Parts: sequence; structure tokens; C-alpha cells
Amino acid sequence: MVTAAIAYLAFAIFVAGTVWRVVAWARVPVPFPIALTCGQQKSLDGIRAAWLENPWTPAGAACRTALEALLFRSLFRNSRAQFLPGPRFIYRPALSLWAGALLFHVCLFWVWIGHLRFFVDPALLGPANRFVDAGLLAGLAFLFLRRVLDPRLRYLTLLSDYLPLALLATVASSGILMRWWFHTDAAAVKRFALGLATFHPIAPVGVGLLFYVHLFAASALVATIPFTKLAHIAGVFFSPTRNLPNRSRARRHVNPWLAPAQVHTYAEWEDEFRDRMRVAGLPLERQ
Amino acid sequence: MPKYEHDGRIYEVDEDGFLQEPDLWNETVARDFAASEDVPEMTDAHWVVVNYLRNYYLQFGIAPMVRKVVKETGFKLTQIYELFPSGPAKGACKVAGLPKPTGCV
Amino acid sequence: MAEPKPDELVQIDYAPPHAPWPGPGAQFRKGTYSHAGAAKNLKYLGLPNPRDWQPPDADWKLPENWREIVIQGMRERLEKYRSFRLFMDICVRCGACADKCHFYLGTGDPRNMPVLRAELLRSVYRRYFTPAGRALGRLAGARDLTVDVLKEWFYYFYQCTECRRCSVYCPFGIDTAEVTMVARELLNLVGCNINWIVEPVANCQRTGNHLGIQPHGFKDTLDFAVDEIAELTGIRVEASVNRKGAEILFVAPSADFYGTPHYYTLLGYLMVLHEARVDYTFSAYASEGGNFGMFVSHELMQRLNAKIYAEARRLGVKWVLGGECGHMWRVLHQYMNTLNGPPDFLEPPVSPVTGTVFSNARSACAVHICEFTADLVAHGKLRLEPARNDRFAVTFHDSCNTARGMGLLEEPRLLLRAACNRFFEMPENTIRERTLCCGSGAGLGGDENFETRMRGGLPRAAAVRQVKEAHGVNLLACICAIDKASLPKLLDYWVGGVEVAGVHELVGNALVIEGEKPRATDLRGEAYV
Ligand code: SF4
Ligand code: SF4
Repeated sequence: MVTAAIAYLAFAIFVAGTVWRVVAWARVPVPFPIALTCGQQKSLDGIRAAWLENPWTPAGAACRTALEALLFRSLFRNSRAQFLPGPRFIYRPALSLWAGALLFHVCLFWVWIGHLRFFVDPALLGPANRFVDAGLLAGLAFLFLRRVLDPRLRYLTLLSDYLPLALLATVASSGILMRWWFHTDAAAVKRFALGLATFHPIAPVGVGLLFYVHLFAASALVATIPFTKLAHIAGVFFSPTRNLPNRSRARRHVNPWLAPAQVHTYAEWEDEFRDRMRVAGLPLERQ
Repeated sequence: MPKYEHDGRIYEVDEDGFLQEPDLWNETVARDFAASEDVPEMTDAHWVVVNYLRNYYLQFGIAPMVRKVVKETGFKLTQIYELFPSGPAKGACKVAGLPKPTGCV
Repeated sequence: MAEPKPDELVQIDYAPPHAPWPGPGAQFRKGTYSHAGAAKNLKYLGLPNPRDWQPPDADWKLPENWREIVIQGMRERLEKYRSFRLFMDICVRCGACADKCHFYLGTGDPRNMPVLRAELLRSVYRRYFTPAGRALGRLAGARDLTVDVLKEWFYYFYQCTECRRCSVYCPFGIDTAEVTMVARELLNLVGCNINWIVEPVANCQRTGNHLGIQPHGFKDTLDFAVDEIAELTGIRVEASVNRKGAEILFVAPSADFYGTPHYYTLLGYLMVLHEARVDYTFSAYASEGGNFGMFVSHELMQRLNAKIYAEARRLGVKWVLGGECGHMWRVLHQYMNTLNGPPDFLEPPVSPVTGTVFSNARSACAVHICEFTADLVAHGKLRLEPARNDRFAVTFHDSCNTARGMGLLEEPRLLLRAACNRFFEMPENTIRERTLCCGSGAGLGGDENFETRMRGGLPRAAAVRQVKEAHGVNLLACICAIDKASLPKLLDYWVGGVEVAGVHELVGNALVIEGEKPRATDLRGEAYV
């Protein structure tokens, strides 16, 4: 029963935390339309505008955000600068981060979907295959190794950046061990999971130590998502540089907290310079 | 506030060594500041530039644009650089006691 | 101050320090920071804590309760800017942005990596605003706000040109420029700003432009320009000031009325607008398109910007045409309508020459001169003789703000292709949305900041050198007043033999004005070759 309680608690923290996090972001206004443009604007008829890289409609901006969230568009631009005598810089395409990150996220998502078979009966989908599992581990290893091997990344990495990696590694390796080597009674796991899903929790029976490791690490991971950088999963959809259309001159963006400007008025200005303006023959409002 | 001293006379200047109070300017001041600008001696040519700058400043509250200095003093830009090695906007303006122009120029 | 030589500055060490982040605080080495804002300017603007101080001073004469002021300021801004809040929360430190900043490329200083620049603020955010940071401190990447941290903010947030290049590469669109803007607002709350920003702002508040050109001087300059065009072409163009009833208000960065080579761009505007028979006026009150207020706070940006619509209303024009300037267009495009709109007294802009409706500007009623002239050229309304620019092999530098804050990429290129025979692009990683900053934007162009500017501009200069070597490029065209002020020095320093010009200068050179006499020279007074 303690096991179920921990799983519930983690899930509750995740849900409440996510709601809190998303509400906290959503409450804060977007005061200015600060779209970041990565292509030609829509202006003259004869000039082809980049509807995806510089969208001027909300639909275009939604596509741009989707491309960012699903295919990591911006990482795909990545390059690595090298400084050579001359002085000269060359910028080599550097797609390893894009590929590694995509591999990791796709495999993780796939494996997660595979887990649904424990929670629905009859299972609609089978588990992820061994290639996906291998991909997940490879992706994780890549994300970890680049942080320790690349001096620049090692320098900018915080201790707290290793925590999610450690949790993920624990979850993934324990799961993979259970699945391929130290088989756990899948039916028992399913009974436990179904109990959770139907709010009739039962204690897991006939599962090994690995199962507990897997479950507790996964619980910890899930519970920390809203409170750590893992919140990027939701954050990417909120980013105003990507999700706003670039049409600020065509449509006014309203700022809810703006007060009118305290402008130095024309009258005050003319008062200061009137004599000199008169001599120069400039038109005056008051003589 | 930084100070600039020459021949025992002390002036309040800004961070770039420009005279703080342009109203305190006179010909002695010009000679004193010329010393800080690699101008060993104020010749007539120097005075033509300095007086033009000074008069323009008194009329308009700002240094004239370089193009105008060139045209109205009759000196080529290279000649002005010969007179004032750090140029019309810096050296010559400093000697003429004008504040340094700040902005995208 | 002896300026360091290029071969000294290219000794860049990219190896990060052994000591872990954050390491020692900022070192205020001469040549790498700007003078502090002068008290008289702060007083004139009503900004907090005017005093006599300089960044290397040990005592910054902060208000007694400076920490509370800053933390409270941060709290307010976390409630006002979703960008700020979000960007504090979601960075995963993937490092994609790290080598995208020209200041990092030019200095090798790890705190110039955008991720760590933002981390300067983020660490304080964690400490005071997140449960993990409050509880775990250093373990959670949090740190106390101390005077040394504040000094580090000052050094590194006045070493960011708000160019937004980092954001292009960030998988979450984190825009360090937004972080810098907030950081500068916070610094300003306790009176920590630089004079190269606050002096133009004070000038602009008073006289209407950054340089402090007074109305009669403004008129004098325009008259001078009109005379010069008459000498050159035999045509007397009209340049009215504060004329009521004109159809269009033309606003340009004030450097165009003052600086070199900006002034030649002014000549170009005057010639094009004359040839197109546009009914327009300048304003001496709204004589600044640029907006250094943006580099202080949103409030000051709004205050300075308000003059443009106010003047458009007073003069009774139909719409606003804007000159060549980068950050000016960031403001006019993305902020003006929100800050000081809606301009319901104006009309959606229509070109009086071609009848083109600028529907992309129908609400803000402000059109970029490159859009306007490109439309003229596309409709064949201007006769251009590109051979007059044959002494130049031209490349184009996209300014950060028009490229990444607007997407004005093709219009200037269309003009250059029409006005010059020899036009060459720099490498693709250095142009358009990936363009590299001049290194002097966002108010960092002071002479005293020389080393930082030369370092920050090195990646741009290196790209120019490449096209110079490959195609003999000897002129860089741009559409930004800060570029025109900073790039001549930068290119002299790193490349040599490359001049800088505004796009409209080249258009002005090539433009055949109806009834003009044969020109002896180009706009600079140099012989056509
Ligand atoms: S690219 Fe974005 S997420 Fe990655 S380190 Fe830079 S700011 Fe953070
Ligand atoms: S906005 Fe530009 S200058 Fe600032 S951190 Fe990003 S790349 Fe560097």
C-alpha cells in the first residue's frame, strides 16, 4: 500500500505542480509582441514571405511552435564556431545535439506510450521494442557524456542538471533490465497498475526489487517535472518569441498594464526653443 | 570629477577629458587643451577651425557636422586631421571647449 | 589610452576556467566598459540615484536599501513579463546558444555565453523566488544578491547588444535580449547605467533627438543638405520642417543629420523622395527615430517614442515613413503601436506613387523607407544607373533588429541589386536571421568601450574579410545608424579598405533625377570610376 501511496503522491504533485506552473506562466501577461523573426516578413506583393519562419497569422505561429516542439527546429540550425588565423571564423553545422536530443525524446515518448498497456485493459498497444530501448539508453548516454566531455558544457552545467539525468538513467535501466533480463511478472505489474488507474489500489505482489527501484525513481522524476528545468516540456509552448505572429504593425497588441507615456509635449518643447525657431523661420503654434 | 591641469591652471573635465563647463572657455583654455591633443602650437589654421566650431556651437548648442566644418572652413578632412590628430569631432572640439557629441555618430 | 593592437586581441582563450561557475566577479579593465551615466542626465530624466561615480570605483554609492529595491523590482517584472518569467524557468543549459554570441566569440569569456549571461540573473531569481533555490542555495544553482553580483550584472548586461542572435538557436526561443532588458531596468532602479545611453536619452527628451540638435540647427543641416544636392545635380529638392498638412511625416535616426557616413544616406532619402514627388515633412520635435530609451527601460522607450505619434497628430499627416535604423525599427515595428497607439488619427499607408497599400503596416501606420523605395523600384518608378556605383563591390550587413525583430531581409537587397552591379553576400551563417552584430549596439558604442567593441565586432569583421578576399568587396552597405557609426572603425581595425554606406546612399548615387545635370562626383564628392 505504501507503494501505491507513493505513486499517487508523485502523480498528485505532478498534476498540482503542473497546474501551478502553467497557471503561473499564463497569468503573467505578454506585454509586447516580441516574435523573433527567422525569415522574410510579409510586406510587398513581389517578395516571398516565410510563412513558417516568420509567420504573420496565429495558425502560422502555431505551426512554428509545433515544429519547435516536435522536431526541435531551432536546434536543427545549430553550428559550431571555430576561430582560425586570419582572423577568420568558420561555422560548421553541428547536428549531433539535434539528433541526440530527438533520439532521446522520441524513444522516451515511445516507451511511455508502451507503458499504457499496463493501465488499459485490453492493452491497445504493445511495448516498445528493443531498438527503442537501446535508443533511449544511447540518447541518455549522449546527453550525459556531452556534459562531462565537452569542457564548455561541463563549465555551464549545474549540479542540478545531473539530477534529472540520474533519475532518467535509473528509471530506464531498471525498466530495461526487468524487461529483457530479470523478467518481472508483467501480469502482476498490470494488476497493480490497473488498481492505481481505477482507484482501487492493491499492493504489488510477486514483483522484484527492480520494480520498486523503477517505480520510485519514476515517481521522483514525475514529481520534479514542474519544479525543475524539466518544465521546458510545457514551457516551449509558451515562448513568446516563437508562438506570436509577426504582425505588430498590422494589428495592435494590447498591453494590460501600460500607463500612458509622460511625454515631453510639443508645447513645452516649443516654449524652450521658440525664439530660435522664429529666427530660423520655422512654423510656430504660438508666437 | 576628473581634472585637467596645464601650466598650473586646473579645469574640471568629463571622463574623456572634455571641458565640463563650455562657458568657461577662452583662448588660454584652448591653448591649454591643445597641449593634451598633440597640438604643439595653435597656428592661424588651428584658430580658423576652432573659431568656426566655437561660433557654430554658440549659435546651435552643438558641434557642427564634420561635412559642414570641411566645407565652411575650406580645409580638407585630411588637413583637419593634420591640425588635430584625433580629428574634428574629438580633438578640435576639445580644444574649442565643446562637449563631446554622444549618439550614433 | 593606448588602444590594443589586433594581433593582441586575437589571442582568445576559449578554454573555460578551472574554477567552477560563477567564479570571480567582473574585472573592470579599461577599454572593456562604458562610463557611468552622468548625474546631470539622470537628474534631468528623473532617474533614481544620480551621483558622481565610475564602474571601477570600489564604492558604487548605492542606496542603503538597494537589495530590497532590486528584489522588489524583480518581483514586479516577474509579474509583468511572461518572457522574463518563462526564460528564468525553462533553460535546460543545452549550450546551443553558447557560441552564438559575438561577445563570446570575441572574448572567450564564458560569462558572455548567452546561457551564462542569463544565469547571472537566474541564479538570483532562484535564490529569492523558487522553493528549491531558497532551500538548497548553491546546490540548486542559487546565489545571494551581493554588491559583487550587481557589479557583474553591470559588466555583462552592458556587454550584451540585445541582438537576439542567441534566441535563433535556442530550442525554447529563450531571448537573452529580454533578460538583458530586464536586468538593465533593475540596474537603473539603483542608478547603475552608462552615459553613452542616458546622455542621448536626456538630449532626446529635451531637444527631440539623441544628439541634442536644436530646431534651428536641424533646419540649418537640412538647408545645407539641400544646397549640396543642388550643387551636385542642379536640382533643388524640398525639405520642409514641421509643415502642417503634409501627407507623410518622415522620421530618421538623428545621426543621419549629423554623422559621417550617415549624412550621405540623408542625401539619398531627399533625392528619392523628391524624385517620387512625395508630399512629406520632417519634424524637429520628433527628430529622432532611434530610441535609446529602449536601452534603459520600457518606460523611457515609451516616453521618447510618444513624440512620433504626437507629432503625426499635430501636423495632421496621414502616415509615418521611417529611415534606416536598426533599433528604431525594433521599436517602430514591435513596440510603438502597443506603447503609444492606436494611431486612429492616421490612415493605413498607401504609396502616393504606386498606389500600393502597405497592409502589413495598416494599424501602426509606419512604413520602412526600404519597403517604400523597394516598392517604387519594383514598379519601375525610379530610373537607376547602377554603373555609377561601379567603383564599389558591395556586401550587405543585416542589422540585428531589422533581421530578427522584423524580417526585413529582401527589401534592402532588392534595392542593392537595382542600384549596384557588383553585390556579394557574406557567408550564409553570418547574414539574414543569423546576422552577426556590429558589436556596438544597445548603447555600447562609446569610445571608451573600445576593446569590447572591437572584440564583439570581430566575427562580423571576419566575415567581411572573407568577401573582401573572395570578391574584392570594398563597401559594406547597411540600414542602421549604429552600424554606420561603428563599422567604419571596426572594419579599419580588422580588415582595412572597406567603407560603409547606407543603402539609400547607393540608391541616391544611382538615381537619375529628372532634369539633373551630369554629376561630377558621387554623394561623397568622390569621382565615379
Ligand atoms: S540554447 Fe536555450 S535552453 Fe539551451 S542553454 Fe541556451 S538559453 Fe538555455
Ligand atoms: S542578445 Fe546578442 S549580445 Fe546578448 S547574449 Fe544574445 S547573442 Fe549575445
